[in-house]
Amino acid sequence: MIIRASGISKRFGKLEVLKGISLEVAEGEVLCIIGPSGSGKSTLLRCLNRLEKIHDGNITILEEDIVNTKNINALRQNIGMVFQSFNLFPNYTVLENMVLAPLELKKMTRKEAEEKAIALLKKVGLEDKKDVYPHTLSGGQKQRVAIARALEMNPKIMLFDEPTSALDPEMVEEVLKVMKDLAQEGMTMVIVTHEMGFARDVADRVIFMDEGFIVEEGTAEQVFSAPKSSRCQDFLSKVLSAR
Amino acid sequence: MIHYFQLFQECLPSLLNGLSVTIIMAVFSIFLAFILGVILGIFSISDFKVLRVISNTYIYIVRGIPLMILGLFLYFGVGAVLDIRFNPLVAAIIALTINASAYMAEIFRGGIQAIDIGQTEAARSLGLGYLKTMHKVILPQAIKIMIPAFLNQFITTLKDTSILSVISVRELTLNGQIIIARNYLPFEVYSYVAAMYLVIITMLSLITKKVERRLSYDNKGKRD
Ligand SMILES: Nc1ncnc2c1ncn2[C@@H]1O[C@H](COP(=O)(O)OP(=O)(O)OP(=O)(O)O)[C@@H](O)[C@H]1O
Ligand SMILES: [Mg+2]
Repeated sequence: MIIRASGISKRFGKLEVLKGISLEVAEGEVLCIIGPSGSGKSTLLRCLNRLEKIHDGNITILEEDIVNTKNINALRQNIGMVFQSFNLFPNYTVLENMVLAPLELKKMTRKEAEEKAIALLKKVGLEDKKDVYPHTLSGGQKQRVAIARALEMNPKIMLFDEPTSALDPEMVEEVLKVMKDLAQEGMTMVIVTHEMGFARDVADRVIFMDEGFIVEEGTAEQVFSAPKSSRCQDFLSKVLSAR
Repeated sequence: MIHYFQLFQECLPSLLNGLSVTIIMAVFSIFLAFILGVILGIFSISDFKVLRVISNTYIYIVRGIPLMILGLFLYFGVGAVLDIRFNPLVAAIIALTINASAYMAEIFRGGIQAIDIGQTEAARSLGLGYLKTMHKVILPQAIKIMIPAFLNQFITTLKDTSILSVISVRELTLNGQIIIARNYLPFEVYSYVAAMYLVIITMLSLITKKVERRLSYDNKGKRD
Protein backbone atom coordinates (compact mmCIF):
# COMPACT_ATOMS: atom_id res chain seq x y z
CA MET A 1 0.00 0.00 0.00
CA ILE A 2 1.45 3.27 -1.12
CA ILE A 3 -0.91 5.35 1.04
CA ARG A 4 -2.09 4.10 4.40
CA ALA A 5 -4.23 6.28 6.64
CA SER A 6 -5.93 5.05 9.74
CA GLY A 7 -8.25 6.69 12.20
CA ILE A 8 -7.44 10.23 11.16
CA SER A 9 -9.38 13.05 12.68
CA LYS A 10 -9.07 16.73 12.04
CA ARG A 11 -10.71 19.75 13.63
CA PHE A 12 -10.85 23.40 12.71
CA GLY A 13 -11.38 24.97 16.10
CA LYS A 14 -14.45 23.22 17.44
CA LEU A 15 -15.61 21.97 14.06
CA GLU A 16 -14.72 18.33 13.58
CA VAL A 17 -14.16 17.91 9.86
CA LEU A 18 -12.69 14.39 9.66
CA LYS A 19 -14.02 11.91 12.15
CA GLY A 20 -11.76 8.90 12.15
CA ILE A 21 -11.08 8.18 8.50
CA SER A 22 -9.17 5.12 7.33
CA LEU A 23 -8.01 4.71 3.80
CA GLU A 24 -5.59 2.67 1.76
CA VAL A 25 -4.40 3.16 -1.78
CA ALA A 26 -2.39 0.61 -3.69
CA GLU A 27 0.31 1.43 -6.17
CA GLY A 28 -1.16 2.30 -9.55
CA GLU A 29 -4.65 2.63 -8.16
CA VAL A 30 -6.99 5.49 -9.05
CA LEU A 31 -9.19 6.51 -6.15
CA CYS A 32 -11.96 9.06 -6.59
CA ILE A 33 -13.49 10.86 -3.63
CA ILE A 34 -16.99 12.24 -4.04
CA GLY A 35 -19.41 13.82 -1.61
CA PRO A 36 -21.37 16.96 -0.84
CA SER A 37 -19.78 20.33 -0.23
CA GLY A 38 -18.25 20.64 3.22
CA SER A 39 -18.01 16.91 3.78
CA GLY A 40 -14.23 17.11 4.25
CA LYS A 41 -12.93 15.87 0.89
CA SER A 42 -10.36 18.63 0.41
CA THR A 43 -9.30 18.44 4.00
CA LEU A 44 -8.70 14.71 3.72
CA LEU A 45 -6.65 15.18 0.56
CA ARG A 46 -4.61 17.98 2.15
CA CYS A 47 -3.85 15.81 5.16
CA LEU A 48 -2.19 13.31 2.83
CA ASN A 49 0.67 15.71 2.06
CA ARG A 50 0.49 17.47 5.41
CA LEU A 51 -0.87 20.76 4.15
CA GLU A 52 -3.18 20.18 7.11
CA LYS A 53 -2.04 18.71 10.42
CA ILE A 54 -4.15 15.91 11.79
CA HIS A 55 -5.13 15.68 15.45
CA ASP A 56 -5.37 11.94 15.68
CA GLY A 57 -4.54 8.83 13.71
CA ASN A 58 -1.61 8.15 11.43
CA ILE A 59 -0.70 8.35 7.80
CA THR A 60 2.12 6.61 6.00
CA ILE A 61 3.03 7.48 2.46
CA LEU A 62 5.54 5.24 0.67
CA GLU A 63 6.15 3.50 3.99
CA GLU A 64 7.10 6.77 5.65
CA ASP A 65 5.22 8.39 8.53
CA ILE A 66 4.19 11.71 7.01
CA VAL A 67 2.79 13.10 10.25
CA ASN A 68 6.05 12.88 12.15
CA THR A 69 8.68 12.83 9.44
CA LYS A 70 11.63 15.15 9.92
CA ASN A 71 11.98 15.60 6.21
CA ILE A 72 8.59 16.60 4.92
CA ASN A 73 10.07 18.39 1.89
CA ALA A 74 11.75 15.23 0.60
CA LEU A 75 8.57 13.24 1.05
CA ARG A 76 6.44 15.89 -0.65
CA GLN A 77 8.60 15.62 -3.75
CA ASN A 78 6.97 12.23 -4.27
CA ILE A 79 3.47 13.60 -3.96
CA GLY A 80 2.26 15.86 -6.73
CA MET A 81 -0.70 18.09 -5.97
CA VAL A 82 -3.08 19.83 -8.33
CA PHE A 83 -5.40 22.52 -7.01
CA GLN A 84 -8.77 23.79 -8.10
CA SER A 85 -7.33 27.28 -8.55
CA PHE A 86 -4.19 26.14 -10.49
CA ASN A 87 -1.78 28.19 -8.35
CA LEU A 88 0.75 28.73 -11.10
CA PHE A 89 3.43 31.25 -10.12
CA PRO A 90 2.48 34.44 -12.01
CA ASN A 91 5.99 35.85 -11.85
CA TYR A 92 7.47 32.98 -13.86
CA THR A 93 6.96 31.68 -17.39
CA VAL A 94 5.46 28.27 -17.96
CA LEU A 95 8.88 26.69 -18.33
CA GLU A 96 10.24 28.51 -15.27
CA ASN A 97 7.22 27.36 -13.27
CA MET A 98 8.12 23.81 -14.16
CA VAL A 99 11.86 23.81 -13.57
CA LEU A 100 11.83 25.95 -10.42
CA ALA A 101 11.44 23.15 -7.90
CA PRO A 102 13.74 20.53 -9.49
CA LEU A 103 16.49 23.13 -9.87
CA GLU A 104 16.10 24.64 -6.40
CA LEU A 105 16.09 21.17 -4.91
CA LYS A 106 19.04 20.13 -7.08
CA LYS A 107 17.18 17.14 -8.42
CA MET A 108 18.25 17.72 -12.00
CA THR A 109 20.61 19.85 -14.04
CA ARG A 110 19.02 22.73 -15.91
CA LYS A 111 19.35 20.84 -19.17
CA GLU A 112 17.65 17.73 -17.79
CA ALA A 113 14.91 19.77 -16.14
CA GLU A 114 14.15 21.74 -19.28
CA GLU A 115 14.16 18.69 -21.51
CA LYS A 116 11.81 16.92 -19.19
CA ALA A 117 9.59 19.99 -18.92
CA ILE A 118 9.34 20.30 -22.68
CA ALA A 119 8.52 16.62 -23.04
CA LEU A 120 5.76 16.99 -20.43
CA LEU A 121 4.40 20.11 -22.11
CA LYS A 122 4.28 18.19 -25.35
CA LYS A 123 2.36 15.49 -23.57
CA VAL A 124 -0.26 17.93 -22.30
CA GLY A 125 -0.34 19.65 -25.69
CA LEU A 126 1.24 22.96 -24.69
CA GLU A 127 4.84 22.91 -25.87
CA ASP A 128 4.30 26.13 -27.82
CA LYS A 129 3.41 27.87 -24.55
CA LYS A 130 6.66 27.24 -22.74
CA ASP A 131 7.82 30.85 -22.76
CA VAL A 132 4.59 32.65 -21.97
CA TYR A 133 3.41 33.88 -18.58
CA PRO A 134 0.48 32.12 -16.92
CA HIS A 135 -1.88 35.10 -17.26
CA THR A 136 -1.96 34.60 -21.02
CA LEU A 137 -3.31 31.05 -20.70
CA SER A 138 -6.91 29.87 -20.53
CA GLY A 139 -8.09 28.03 -17.43
CA GLY A 140 -7.79 24.66 -19.07
CA GLN A 141 -4.28 25.45 -20.25
CA LYS A 142 -3.29 26.67 -16.78
CA GLN A 143 -4.50 23.47 -15.23
CA ARG A 144 -2.63 21.35 -17.77
CA VAL A 145 0.54 23.29 -16.98
CA ALA A 146 -0.11 22.79 -13.27
CA ILE A 147 -0.38 19.04 -13.84
CA ALA A 148 2.81 19.06 -15.90
CA ARG A 149 4.56 21.08 -13.20
CA ALA A 150 3.63 18.48 -10.61
CA LEU A 151 4.75 15.64 -12.89
CA GLU A 152 8.10 17.31 -13.48
CA MET A 153 9.14 16.21 -9.99
CA ASN A 154 8.60 12.53 -10.91
CA PRO A 155 6.04 11.99 -8.16
CA LYS A 156 4.88 8.51 -7.21
CA ILE A 157 1.45 9.79 -6.22
CA MET A 158 -0.74 12.54 -7.64
CA LEU A 159 -3.43 14.28 -5.59
CA PHE A 160 -6.12 16.29 -7.38
CA ASP A 161 -8.56 18.61 -5.60
CA GLU A 162 -11.44 19.32 -7.95
CA PRO A 163 -9.11 20.09 -10.84
CA THR A 164 -11.91 21.02 -13.24
CA SER A 165 -14.30 22.88 -10.93
CA ALA A 166 -12.94 26.32 -11.77
CA LEU A 167 -13.04 25.72 -15.52
CA ASP A 168 -15.49 26.79 -18.17
CA PRO A 169 -17.38 23.70 -19.38
CA GLU A 170 -15.65 23.59 -22.75
CA MET A 171 -12.26 23.27 -21.06
CA VAL A 172 -13.10 20.44 -18.71
CA GLU A 173 -12.51 17.69 -21.25
CA GLU A 174 -8.95 18.72 -22.15
CA VAL A 175 -7.94 18.46 -18.51
CA LEU A 176 -9.78 15.21 -17.89
CA LYS A 177 -8.10 13.76 -20.96
CA VAL A 178 -4.67 14.48 -19.51
CA MET A 179 -5.72 12.85 -16.26
CA LYS A 180 -7.10 9.81 -18.05
CA ASP A 181 -3.82 9.33 -19.90
CA LEU A 182 -2.00 9.57 -16.62
CA ALA A 183 -4.25 6.95 -15.06
CA GLN A 184 -3.65 4.65 -17.98
CA GLU A 185 0.10 4.97 -17.52
CA GLY A 186 -0.31 3.54 -14.06
CA MET A 187 0.06 6.66 -11.91
CA THR A 188 -1.31 6.33 -8.40
CA MET A 189 -4.00 9.00 -8.16
CA VAL A 190 -6.34 10.34 -5.52
CA ILE A 191 -8.92 12.61 -7.10
CA VAL A 192 -11.58 14.72 -5.44
CA THR A 193 -14.09 15.40 -8.17
CA HIS A 194 -17.64 16.30 -9.05
CA GLU A 195 -17.24 14.81 -12.52
CA MET A 196 -19.22 11.62 -12.01
CA GLY A 197 -18.82 10.40 -15.59
CA PHE A 198 -15.08 10.77 -15.31
CA ALA A 199 -14.97 9.03 -11.93
CA ARG A 200 -16.94 6.17 -13.38
CA ASP A 201 -14.51 5.86 -16.29
CA VAL A 202 -11.19 6.00 -14.53
CA ALA A 203 -11.69 5.13 -10.87
CA ASP A 204 -10.60 1.74 -9.63
CA ARG A 205 -12.35 2.61 -6.42
CA VAL A 206 -14.74 5.34 -5.30
CA ILE A 207 -15.23 6.75 -1.83
CA PHE A 208 -18.32 8.70 -0.87
CA MET A 209 -17.82 11.06 2.07
CA ASP A 210 -20.38 12.85 4.16
CA GLU A 211 -19.94 14.93 7.32
CA GLY A 212 -16.43 13.75 7.97
CA PHE A 213 -17.07 10.04 7.50
CA ILE A 214 -16.50 7.64 4.66
CA VAL A 215 -20.04 6.52 4.13
CA GLU A 216 -19.64 4.31 1.12
CA GLU A 217 -16.72 2.67 -0.57
CA GLY A 218 -16.40 0.31 -3.52
CA THR A 219 -15.72 -0.01 -7.19
CA ALA A 220 -17.15 2.70 -9.41
CA GLU A 221 -19.78 0.22 -10.52
CA GLN A 222 -20.83 -0.57 -6.95
CA VAL A 223 -20.98 3.02 -5.76
CA PHE A 224 -22.66 4.52 -8.79
CA SER A 225 -25.03 1.75 -9.78
CA ALA A 226 -25.92 0.21 -6.46
CA PRO A 227 -25.16 2.57 -3.58
CA LYS A 228 -26.06 0.96 -0.27
CA SER A 229 -26.53 4.02 1.92
CA SER A 230 -29.45 6.35 1.51
CA ARG A 231 -27.16 9.37 1.86
CA CYS A 232 -25.13 8.28 -1.13
CA GLN A 233 -28.27 7.52 -3.10
CA ASP A 234 -29.60 11.01 -2.33
CA PHE A 235 -26.35 12.65 -3.30
CA LEU A 236 -26.06 10.77 -6.57
CA SER A 237 -29.63 11.39 -7.58
CA LYS A 238 -29.13 15.10 -6.89
CA VAL A 239 -25.89 15.51 -8.85
CA LEU A 240 -26.98 13.27 -11.69
CA SER A 241 -30.34 15.01 -12.10
CA ALA A 242 -28.56 18.37 -12.05
CA ARG A 243 -27.04 17.64 -15.45
CA MET B 1 7.72 91.46 -4.42
CA ILE B 2 11.33 92.24 -5.19
CA HIS B 3 11.91 92.31 -1.48
CA TYR B 4 10.36 88.84 -1.18
CA PHE B 5 12.81 87.27 -3.62
CA GLN B 6 15.79 89.18 -2.30
CA LEU B 7 15.08 87.93 1.17
CA PHE B 8 14.76 84.41 -0.22
CA GLN B 9 18.24 84.66 -1.71
CA GLU B 10 19.62 85.81 1.62
CA CYS B 11 18.00 82.97 3.49
CA LEU B 12 18.80 80.33 0.89
CA PRO B 13 22.24 79.15 2.10
CA SER B 14 21.00 78.54 5.61
CA LEU B 15 17.80 76.90 4.41
CA LEU B 16 19.71 74.66 2.01
CA ASN B 17 21.91 73.57 4.89
CA GLY B 18 18.80 72.71 6.82
CA LEU B 19 17.34 70.88 3.84
CA SER B 20 20.43 68.74 3.50
CA VAL B 21 20.18 67.76 7.17
CA THR B 22 16.49 66.99 6.63
CA ILE B 23 17.32 64.73 3.72
CA ILE B 24 20.13 63.01 5.61
CA MET B 25 17.78 62.34 8.52
CA ALA B 26 15.09 60.96 6.26
CA VAL B 27 17.41 58.77 4.20
CA PHE B 28 19.25 57.29 7.17
CA SER B 29 16.18 56.62 9.21
CA ILE B 30 14.16 55.18 6.34
CA PHE B 31 17.06 52.87 5.51
CA LEU B 32 17.38 51.66 9.11
CA ALA B 33 13.61 51.50 9.49
CA PHE B 34 13.41 49.34 6.39
CA ILE B 35 15.82 46.78 7.85
CA LEU B 36 14.14 46.84 11.26
CA GLY B 37 10.70 46.78 9.66
CA VAL B 38 11.48 43.74 7.53
CA ILE B 39 12.80 41.88 10.59
CA LEU B 40 9.70 42.81 12.59
CA GLY B 41 7.52 41.93 9.61
CA ILE B 42 9.12 38.48 9.40
CA PHE B 43 8.50 38.08 13.14
CA SER B 44 4.86 39.00 12.73
CA ILE B 45 4.19 36.29 10.14
CA SER B 46 6.32 33.70 11.90
CA ASP B 47 4.99 30.42 13.24
CA PHE B 48 6.54 31.20 16.62
CA LYS B 49 4.12 32.91 18.92
CA VAL B 50 6.86 34.64 20.94
CA LEU B 51 8.14 36.42 17.84
CA ARG B 52 4.65 37.45 16.81
CA VAL B 53 3.96 38.84 20.27
CA ILE B 54 7.24 40.79 20.30
CA SER B 55 6.52 42.29 16.91
CA ASN B 56 2.88 43.10 17.56
CA THR B 57 3.65 44.68 20.92
CA TYR B 58 6.36 46.82 19.39
CA ILE B 59 4.07 47.96 16.60
CA TYR B 60 1.26 48.64 19.04
CA ILE B 61 3.40 50.76 21.35
CA VAL B 62 5.21 52.72 18.66
CA ARG B 63 2.04 53.51 16.75
CA GLY B 64 0.48 54.78 19.96
CA ILE B 65 3.21 57.31 20.76
CA PRO B 66 3.49 60.66 18.96
CA LEU B 67 6.82 61.08 17.25
CA MET B 68 7.46 64.33 19.10
CA ILE B 69 7.13 62.61 22.45
CA LEU B 70 9.39 59.80 21.27
CA GLY B 71 12.03 62.36 20.27
CA LEU B 72 11.77 64.34 23.51
CA PHE B 73 11.83 61.17 25.58
CA LEU B 74 14.95 59.87 23.84
CA TYR B 75 16.85 63.14 23.73
CA PHE B 76 16.02 64.53 27.15
CA GLY B 77 14.63 61.58 29.09
CA VAL B 78 16.97 58.77 28.17
CA GLY B 79 19.83 61.24 27.87
CA ALA B 80 19.30 62.36 31.47
CA VAL B 81 18.98 58.87 32.92
CA LEU B 82 22.06 57.59 31.14
CA ASP B 83 23.80 60.88 31.85
CA ILE B 84 24.89 61.37 28.25
CA ARG B 85 24.38 64.27 25.89
CA PHE B 86 22.92 62.82 22.76
CA ASN B 87 23.89 64.35 19.50
CA PRO B 88 20.46 65.74 18.48
CA LEU B 89 20.83 64.37 14.95
CA VAL B 90 21.54 60.89 16.28
CA ALA B 91 18.60 61.05 18.69
CA ALA B 92 16.37 62.27 15.88
CA ILE B 93 17.41 59.48 13.54
CA ILE B 94 16.76 56.90 16.26
CA ALA B 95 13.32 58.35 16.95
CA LEU B 96 12.40 58.46 13.27
CA THR B 97 13.71 54.93 12.76
CA ILE B 98 11.66 53.54 15.62
CA ASN B 99 8.59 55.36 14.41
CA ALA B 100 8.88 54.41 10.73
CA SER B 101 9.90 50.80 11.41
CA ALA B 102 6.50 50.06 12.92
CA TYR B 103 4.80 51.22 9.74
CA MET B 104 7.37 49.44 7.57
CA ALA B 105 6.64 46.21 9.45
CA GLU B 106 2.95 46.61 8.73
CA ILE B 107 3.62 47.25 5.06
CA PHE B 108 5.82 44.16 4.88
CA ARG B 109 3.28 41.98 6.62
CA GLY B 110 0.47 43.34 4.45
CA GLY B 111 2.46 42.65 1.29
CA ILE B 112 3.16 39.06 2.22
CA GLN B 113 -0.40 38.44 3.33
CA ALA B 114 -1.76 39.88 0.11
CA ILE B 115 -0.29 36.93 -1.78
CA ASP B 116 -2.78 34.11 -2.18
CA ILE B 117 -2.08 31.27 0.25
CA GLY B 118 -2.41 28.93 -2.73
CA GLN B 119 1.00 30.15 -3.93
CA THR B 120 2.63 28.94 -0.74
CA GLU B 121 0.71 25.69 -0.83
CA ALA B 122 1.70 25.00 -4.43
CA ALA B 123 5.37 25.71 -3.72
CA ARG B 124 5.41 23.66 -0.51
CA SER B 125 3.65 20.73 -2.16
CA LEU B 126 6.39 20.66 -4.79
CA GLY B 127 8.79 20.03 -1.92
CA LEU B 128 10.24 23.53 -1.61
CA GLY B 129 11.05 24.51 1.96
CA TYR B 130 9.73 27.59 3.76
CA LEU B 131 12.71 29.79 2.94
CA LYS B 132 12.92 28.80 -0.71
CA THR B 133 9.18 29.34 -1.03
CA MET B 134 9.53 32.80 0.46
CA HIS B 135 12.55 33.71 -1.58
CA LYS B 136 11.52 32.36 -4.97
CA VAL B 137 7.74 32.58 -4.97
CA ILE B 138 6.24 34.87 -2.34
CA LEU B 139 8.71 37.74 -1.96
CA PRO B 140 9.11 38.51 -5.68
CA GLN B 141 5.36 38.99 -5.87
CA ALA B 142 4.95 40.70 -2.51
CA ILE B 143 7.70 43.23 -3.12
CA LYS B 144 5.78 44.66 -6.05
CA ILE B 145 2.92 45.38 -3.71
CA MET B 146 5.19 46.80 -1.01
CA ILE B 147 7.30 49.21 -3.04
CA PRO B 148 4.73 51.99 -3.50
CA ALA B 149 3.84 51.79 0.20
CA PHE B 150 7.51 51.94 1.16
CA LEU B 151 7.97 55.04 -0.99
CA ASN B 152 4.94 56.63 0.64
CA GLN B 153 6.42 55.95 4.04
CA PHE B 154 9.59 57.68 2.87
CA ILE B 155 7.55 60.78 2.06
CA THR B 156 5.84 60.64 5.44
CA THR B 157 9.14 60.27 7.25
CA LEU B 158 10.61 63.16 5.32
CA LYS B 159 7.76 65.39 6.48
CA ASP B 160 8.04 64.03 10.01
CA THR B 161 11.64 65.22 10.26
CA SER B 162 10.33 68.73 10.91
CA ILE B 163 8.82 67.50 14.19
CA LEU B 164 12.32 66.77 15.45
CA SER B 165 13.14 70.49 15.34
CA VAL B 166 11.96 70.35 18.97
CA ILE B 167 15.14 68.58 19.97
CA SER B 168 17.25 71.20 18.22
CA VAL B 169 18.29 69.32 15.11
CA ARG B 170 19.44 71.94 12.66
CA GLU B 171 17.14 70.79 9.91
CA LEU B 172 15.04 72.88 7.56
CA THR B 173 12.29 73.86 9.98
CA LEU B 174 14.61 74.87 12.81
CA ASN B 175 16.86 76.83 10.49
CA GLY B 176 13.80 78.71 9.31
CA GLN B 177 12.82 79.46 12.90
CA ILE B 178 16.33 80.72 13.66
CA ILE B 179 16.14 83.15 10.75
CA ILE B 180 12.72 84.35 11.90
CA ALA B 181 14.06 84.98 15.39
CA ARG B 182 16.49 87.39 13.80
CA ASN B 183 14.37 89.17 11.16
CA TYR B 184 10.80 88.83 12.52
CA LEU B 185 9.45 87.92 9.09
CA PRO B 186 7.56 84.68 9.75
CA PHE B 187 5.23 85.01 6.75
CA GLU B 188 8.07 85.18 4.25
CA VAL B 189 10.41 82.68 5.84
CA TYR B 190 7.81 80.00 6.60
CA SER B 191 6.59 80.26 3.03
CA TYR B 192 10.14 79.57 1.82
CA VAL B 193 10.39 76.61 4.13
CA ALA B 194 7.04 75.25 3.02
CA ALA B 195 7.97 75.66 -0.63
CA MET B 196 11.19 73.75 -0.15
CA TYR B 197 9.40 70.82 1.48
CA LEU B 198 6.86 70.94 -1.28
CA VAL B 199 9.47 70.76 -4.03
CA ILE B 200 11.24 67.76 -2.51
CA ILE B 201 8.04 65.93 -1.77
CA THR B 202 6.64 66.62 -5.21
CA MET B 203 9.75 65.08 -6.68
CA LEU B 204 9.38 62.01 -4.50
CA SER B 205 5.68 61.73 -5.32
CA LEU B 206 6.43 61.82 -9.01
CA ILE B 207 8.93 59.02 -8.62
CA THR B 208 6.41 57.02 -6.58
CA LYS B 209 3.72 57.49 -9.20
CA LYS B 210 6.08 56.43 -11.94
CA VAL B 211 7.11 53.30 -10.07
CA GLU B 212 3.49 52.53 -9.28
CA ARG B 213 2.50 52.85 -12.91
CA ARG B 214 5.40 50.66 -13.95
CA LEU B 215 4.48 47.99 -11.42
CA SER B 216 0.80 47.96 -12.25
CA TYR B 217 1.73 47.67 -15.91
CA ASP B 218 3.94 44.67 -15.13
CA ASN B 219 1.17 43.16 -13.09
CA LYS B 220 -1.59 43.70 -15.58
CA GLY B 221 -3.55 40.48 -15.58
CA LYS B 222 -0.55 38.67 -14.25
CA ARG B 223 -2.42 37.51 -11.20
CA ASP B 224 -3.09 33.87 -11.77
N1 LIG C 1 -8.87 26.44 7.04
C1 LIG C 1 -10.10 26.20 7.54
N2 LIG C 1 -10.50 26.81 8.66
C2 LIG C 1 -11.72 26.57 9.19
N3 LIG C 1 -12.62 25.74 8.66
C3 LIG C 1 -12.28 25.09 7.53
C4 LIG C 1 -11.02 25.30 6.91
N4 LIG C 1 -10.94 24.52 5.81
C5 LIG C 1 -12.13 23.87 5.74
N5 LIG C 1 -12.93 24.20 6.77
C6 LIG C 1 -14.29 23.65 7.03
O1 LIG C 1 -14.18 22.25 7.06
C7 LIG C 1 -15.30 21.66 6.43
C8 LIG C 1 -14.83 20.72 5.33
O2 LIG C 1 -14.20 21.48 4.33
P1 LIG C 1 -13.60 20.84 3.02
O3 LIG C 1 -13.01 21.96 2.25
O4 LIG C 1 -12.72 19.71 3.36
O5 LIG C 1 -14.92 20.32 2.30
P2 LIG C 1 -15.08 19.73 0.85
O6 LIG C 1 -15.71 18.40 1.00
O7 LIG C 1 -13.79 19.80 0.12
O8 LIG C 1 -16.14 20.72 0.20
P3 LIG C 1 -16.22 21.34 -1.28
O9 LIG C 1 -16.87 20.29 -2.14
O10 LIG C 1 -17.07 22.53 -1.11
O11 LIG C 1 -14.83 21.67 -1.72
C9 LIG C 1 -16.17 22.79 5.94
O12 LIG C 1 -17.20 22.98 6.87
C10 LIG C 1 -15.25 23.96 5.92
O13 LIG C 1 -15.96 25.15 6.18
MG1 LIG D 1 -13.05 20.98 -1.49
